[in-house]
Amino acid sequence: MSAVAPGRVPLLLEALMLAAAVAAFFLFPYSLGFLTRILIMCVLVLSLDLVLGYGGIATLGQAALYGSGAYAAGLFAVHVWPAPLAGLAVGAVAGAAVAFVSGWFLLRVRGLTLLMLSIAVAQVLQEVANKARGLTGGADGLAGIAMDPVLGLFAFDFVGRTAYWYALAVLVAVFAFLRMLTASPFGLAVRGIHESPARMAAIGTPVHARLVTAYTIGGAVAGIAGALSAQVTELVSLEVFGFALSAEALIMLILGGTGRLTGAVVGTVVFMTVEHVAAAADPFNWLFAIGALVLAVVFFVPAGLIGLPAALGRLGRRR
Amino acid sequence: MGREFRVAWLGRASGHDPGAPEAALARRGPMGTLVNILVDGVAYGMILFMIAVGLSVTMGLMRVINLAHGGFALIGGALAHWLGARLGLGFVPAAGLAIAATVALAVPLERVLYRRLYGKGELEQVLATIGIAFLIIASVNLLFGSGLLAIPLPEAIRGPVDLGFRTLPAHRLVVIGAGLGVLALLHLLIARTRFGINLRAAVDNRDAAAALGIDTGRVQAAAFALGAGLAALGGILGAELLPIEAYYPLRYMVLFLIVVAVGGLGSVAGSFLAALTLGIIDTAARYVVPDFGTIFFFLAMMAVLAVRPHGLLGRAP
Amino acid sequence: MTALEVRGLEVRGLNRAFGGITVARDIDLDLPPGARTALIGPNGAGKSTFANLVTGALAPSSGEIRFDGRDIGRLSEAQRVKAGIARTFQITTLFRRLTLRENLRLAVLEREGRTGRWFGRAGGDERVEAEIEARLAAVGLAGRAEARVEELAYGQQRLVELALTLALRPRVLVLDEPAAGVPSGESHLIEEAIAGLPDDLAVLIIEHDMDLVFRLARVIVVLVGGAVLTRGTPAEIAADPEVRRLYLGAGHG
Repeated sequence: MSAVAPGRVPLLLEALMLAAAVAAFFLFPYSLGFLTRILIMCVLVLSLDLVLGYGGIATLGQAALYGSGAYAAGLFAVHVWPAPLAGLAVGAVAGAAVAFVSGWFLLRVRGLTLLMLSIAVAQVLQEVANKARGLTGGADGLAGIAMDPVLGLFAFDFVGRTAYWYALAVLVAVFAFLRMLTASPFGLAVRGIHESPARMAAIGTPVHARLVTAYTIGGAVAGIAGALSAQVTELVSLEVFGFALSAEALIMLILGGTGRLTGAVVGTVVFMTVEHVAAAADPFNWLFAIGALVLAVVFFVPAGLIGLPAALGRLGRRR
Repeated sequence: MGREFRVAWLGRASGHDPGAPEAALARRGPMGTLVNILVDGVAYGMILFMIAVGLSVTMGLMRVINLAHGGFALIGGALAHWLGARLGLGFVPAAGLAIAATVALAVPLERVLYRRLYGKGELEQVLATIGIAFLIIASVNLLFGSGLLAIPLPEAIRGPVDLGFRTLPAHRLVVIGAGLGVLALLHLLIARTRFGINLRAAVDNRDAAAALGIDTGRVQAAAFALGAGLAALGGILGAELLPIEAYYPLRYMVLFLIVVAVGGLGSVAGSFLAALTLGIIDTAARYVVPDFGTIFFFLAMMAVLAVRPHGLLGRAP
Repeated sequence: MTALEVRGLEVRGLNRAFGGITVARDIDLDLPPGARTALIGPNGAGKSTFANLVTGALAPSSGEIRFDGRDIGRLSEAQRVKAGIARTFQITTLFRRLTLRENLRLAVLEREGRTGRWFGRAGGDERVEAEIEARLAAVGLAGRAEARVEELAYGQQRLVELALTLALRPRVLVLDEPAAGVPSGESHLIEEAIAGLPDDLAVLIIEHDMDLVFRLARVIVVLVGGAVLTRGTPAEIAADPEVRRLYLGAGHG
């Protein structure tokens, strides 16, 4: 599944998604916590789209970077300065740093080995966080994160209104940045490496350096997602490094469609909504729904849900 | 709920608990503990081997990432539970029927679902097999609920066995024996039979094998069924160490993948070595430095893969 | 650059062994500017291995590779491209799901060292886009710029690879079996493209197609078992009894 250039009407889909996000605030005023979690997850899955969808780096360890950002931002807020935007920057730097160091080694291998090593990095970080109880609170988690108002103006409220707009603003900024990055020469080079690392080397590209850069940027974005999570929920638990998170992000991305950025958002919204609704309706059988959905997507819409309109169009034309 | 689902993924990589290791240490002294570690570790390794070997072979052969492989261990264990605990059959007939039924389920599954995945990209395979895992989990959940499914062991192997120089749990000895038996059986199968020759050729180079007239489709189907059956056996025998419950495939998925990655895709001997090594290291870590949990396990894996990226006995594709 | 420094590629005593098997044995070869040298030999003679050694995809066991007097043996593949050595592959290696325009754009942007830039649209430079159009037109694919590589016929893909490689403005070009796999109806396109290469470019052609070799090459080097059997002009090689035995004896044409 390779990256695809933006569609016919530029940014139409993005505008629709933004409108939907704004509408959701007014339509579901009592579910803002859940909706905010969706927004934060979108940022994480976007980071994975850059790394996996565009760069072709198969990783099940994105949580390592998310968790690094979460703990960094949480500790920063508790011990240094509880300003939200500064915390985002700290989270980005933490995610980028962990990605840079681990990526330097990870990206020398591919395939199953890369997959397993990426899992290992996240697991080791989780164990380290577990052991460093004094700093991180261990299994009890890092609590007591009380954030200052955003930009000094918008205080976080119990209902979650500020959190929602804050998270949405961050998501829009991240999305815009990634749109620009993927359309840039660097973005084209990353797609080229995904298509044919051999050809990229044969045109003179320092392949490993480009990949590490892409992975580092992905780490920064994942770190921002983690920081958001720490600030909005005011708690950082060991689960931020969890394999479940990496795996679910992967499912959401592939479900929505890789290499388009919009697919990442669609996949996240659909998966989390189905999970929420189906699990509430029947906590024991919702896995049937997800399992069937996933298989249906793989067999009938392999490009992901984002390819559904095109697939339906083809179906219509065949009749 | 979603919560439960979240917790089910890889709570602890290595899953099992040897049971009160500190007390054992106090009772037996360091030498006794060493034997305990070895016995527990080797037994655990045998379980991992039996379950993971099928995955290694099918991943090496069909080049399909199958994240639902643990589902066969679950199906075997759940059926053995039903036949043994709920219907009252003896252990051997219950286990035998459960394994046979698992194989019988695996064959059409391969034909209908997996065969369609062979040509698809890695990501689609990951997604599809996760979906299959979900369906297996949901089915077991529906039929048996989400609690632990105990498999009643026969009296004969429930207690300790006096070997003269020391007493060991009979169950562990049976597991070790079974593991060695499976290794021997597989060795004979692969080295001495036509199927084995075809299998090795197909793993080595599928197109060349097909060009030589080997029916790679049948080889794949047979290998898949065999792997499923062995996983069921491992699941049943290993129920004490890796408890059978609905979320089993997700909980231990990474574990089996680690054995495959460290052993090398498509290598039976590699799976054996990797399973044993990892089983002993993990058990030893739990006895000696329980606070550090799974760090040693993952560090061991990273160390092996850093030096030999294709696994101990794997080869570059 | 003085005349002394512009020496092109000089290979001396190149060796490469894998365990007990020697795939390159004491090879000497010169590629001065403007060279049209063909490397021929039976299958398994080590021709592609030689290409890999020269371009840096494979490290030699011993020997020297100099470019304009400078030892480039330690340079990576990507670094050698930057130094001016480019190649095409025996099996066409392109960015299959990207368009022709994007394929060439990558080559041009990389040549100019701009693929590290995060800002600005990749296709936003008019000068670059004009160069892409010109290069595609030069291989007769002007109207297909928006097609993806995988949609093209194999012969056309070969041409795209040639255009892409030329976009790197190399000084030495290694063509690994450019006619391989190209249907006979399309092979004249390849030949014309090679005949039209810049005069100061040093070209090494690895080929099995003897017609192509005899029409395009000025020097022919015969490689057997990893070692140079003989070298000379096309006329000399055609008359060489050992070469005749090698090819006519084995039924090659």
